[in-house]
Amino acid sequence: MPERGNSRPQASPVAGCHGEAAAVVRPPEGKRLIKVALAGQPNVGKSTLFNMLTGLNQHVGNWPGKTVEQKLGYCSLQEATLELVDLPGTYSLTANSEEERIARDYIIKERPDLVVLVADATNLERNLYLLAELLLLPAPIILALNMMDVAASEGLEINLRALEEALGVPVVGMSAVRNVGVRELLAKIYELACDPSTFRPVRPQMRPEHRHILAQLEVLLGEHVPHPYEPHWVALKLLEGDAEVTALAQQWLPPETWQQVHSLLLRHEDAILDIAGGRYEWIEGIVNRVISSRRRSEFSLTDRIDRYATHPFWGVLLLLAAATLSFLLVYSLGSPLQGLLEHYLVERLGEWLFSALAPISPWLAGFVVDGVLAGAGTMVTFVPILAIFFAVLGVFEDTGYMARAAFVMDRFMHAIGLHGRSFLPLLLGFGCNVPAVVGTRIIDSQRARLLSVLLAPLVPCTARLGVLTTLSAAFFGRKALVVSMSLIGANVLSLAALGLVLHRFIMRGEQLAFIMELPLYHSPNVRTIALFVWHHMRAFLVRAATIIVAASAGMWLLSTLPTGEISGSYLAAFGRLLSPVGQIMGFDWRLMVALLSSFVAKENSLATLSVLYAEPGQAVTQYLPQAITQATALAFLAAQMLFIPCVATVAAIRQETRSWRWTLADIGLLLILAILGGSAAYRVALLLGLPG
Amino acid sequence: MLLQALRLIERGQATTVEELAAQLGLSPALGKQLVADLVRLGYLQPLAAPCPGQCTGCSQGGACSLGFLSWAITPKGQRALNSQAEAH
Repeated sequence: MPERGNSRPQASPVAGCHGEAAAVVRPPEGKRLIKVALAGQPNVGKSTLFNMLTGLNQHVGNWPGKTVEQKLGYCSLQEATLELVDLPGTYSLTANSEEERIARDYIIKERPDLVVLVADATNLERNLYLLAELLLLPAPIILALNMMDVAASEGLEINLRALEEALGVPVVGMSAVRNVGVRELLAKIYELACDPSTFRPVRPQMRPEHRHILAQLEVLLGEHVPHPYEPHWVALKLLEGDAEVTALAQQWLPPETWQQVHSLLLRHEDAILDIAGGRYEWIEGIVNRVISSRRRSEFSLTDRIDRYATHPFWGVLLLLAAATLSFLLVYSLGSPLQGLLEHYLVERLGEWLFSALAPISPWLAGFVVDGVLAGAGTMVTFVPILAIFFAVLGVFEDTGYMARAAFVMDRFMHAIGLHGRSFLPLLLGFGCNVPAVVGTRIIDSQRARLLSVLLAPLVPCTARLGVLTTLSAAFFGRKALVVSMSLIGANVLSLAALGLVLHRFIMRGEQLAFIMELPLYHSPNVRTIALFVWHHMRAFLVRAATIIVAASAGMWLLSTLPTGEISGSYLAAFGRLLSPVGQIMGFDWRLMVALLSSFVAKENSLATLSVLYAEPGQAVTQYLPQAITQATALAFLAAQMLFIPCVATVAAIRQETRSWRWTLADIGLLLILAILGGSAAYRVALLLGLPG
Repeated sequence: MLLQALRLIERGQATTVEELAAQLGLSPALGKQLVADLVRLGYLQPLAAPCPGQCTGCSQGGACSLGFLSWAITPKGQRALNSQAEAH
């Protein structure tokens, strides 16, 4: 049976605390004052305990010169008064944050009579880490193991007596919110404050081979370390590379002594691995001794899901299933809604605008209806499809699945031998190609980095995926899912093949050893997902209302000037110059112009198609499939997926390569790939019997 | 234990913090602390993946984060691994 520190009332000189306190914030006179610092990690119930002990008898301000809140209070016992300071919540005392500096400086400089470490019993290991650091500081410590009731309900049994023996530190089991164990804690505080000599902690030990380094440092530091610092602690922090202590030591030591310290530190820079590692071994040893039975739910929900979600085989299968379901959802819900918007927004509004404007000026009516509305208006009809697409992405991200998808992709790439430094930045390209290009900075080899920059645009970014999703729905109806998945698969495979070449021949097997932290799964938050969708849709609509309106209007003007007929327009003349290339992929000049227009922004190709193929009284989902065959549409989508990236990515490539030559070479390479991909898709489509 | 952790990461035997903690016999929370220690001591470095400024030009620019943190072994970490290998 676990020893429950809160289970038996204890006779003590302490009758209680809260309620007996004076109503003013000052130490009552005539009693011994015991200074107690409450330390602990955030959310362990430290403030609950502080409030319970001090009641109204507390003062809240800021730490001197800091923006961190300071809480000071008094608690009157029968024979003494406690002055309680609630230290900021910290996970360690490494001076990495202002809170950590405040906590450790207070204990070193103010020298409280004792420190109460309030710890979460359900997360003993990590709390012991903080204790290992506190034990190096000059103050007796009591471990107040809070949330014992929660730990018990989770099936966690902690032997408090064994813990006390293993640590050599007084331990009190408690549940602050239920006021259980508080009397025992007060009794222990009083006992330890009255006789600090009973405090004999068992500190983490250093391996024998490194003890002499610490001893040498302590000798060098000698009497140069001023009060209240202690040479042993300063020596340890110097080995850890603590920036604050290093700066102080440089001030304290004569230059020649500092040089000796510095060279000793350089020679033994890895000694800290053993010293810090000793803390983990100390924790592991204690936990094994005091936790007699593990949690009932040893495997959390996240662990159980991840057994499949991150499995090398099931994980890939799950990812494929998730992607398929996502597209199914997008098409089955989004396409009917898109049809409704098309009917009411573009067709009906177009008819009304034309009838209103035509009597004034037929040219103006054409410009507004066939130029602006057909282009930007059609873009707006795709809002339902994109909104569902982003909602699905938002759910993946908010539940924590997106990180698993990335992890599974890593495993998959590893299985085919691609696990180099180039992989991680390329993975980022699925969001946006710009961070993929910039992310290649982690690659040391200039040659490999350059190649990764050049390959990054091949990763299908969300903007490209959005265009693919909407156009495949328009051209292929129920087959849109198969088409989308196939094209994404082809892109990933072509990227993997190129990556493999990069890995084998350019990077020559160079590996990037890395580790990632997967977030816990949790239920999706509707507000978070709504904000995610809103952020993306607002950006899309802003673009539709600005760049795409301008581009659509420009395209319409170029397609009507100078003759008023599209066949005799400037745009047709320009497009026909490109026709020989287009014919390889089954394109007419209009498709070539639409493809080129995506350089400004990927979505522009949608608007351009709507302007150039517009038919009076027909919706885009009617006139596009009539004007463009499925074989040509497949070729267009394949070429679009491989085509030159947007202008922002090209700018990033120029910035990262610092060379117009390489930037233009990449544009050329992608153009060739797009033509080859489009041509191959066209031939395959014809072979499969799709109308050509 | 920290060197052992670095070795597991280097060999690709632990690719997530959870895997690393499990292999070292630590709780996931303490595994996070261990990784934080390795970062603080300069043996691991975060692989930063921020949205660069250029993303503002893209309507889908906010989607560039994949929702995970990752760290790579630094040259200092590699040196420590190499010197341990030489010592053995």
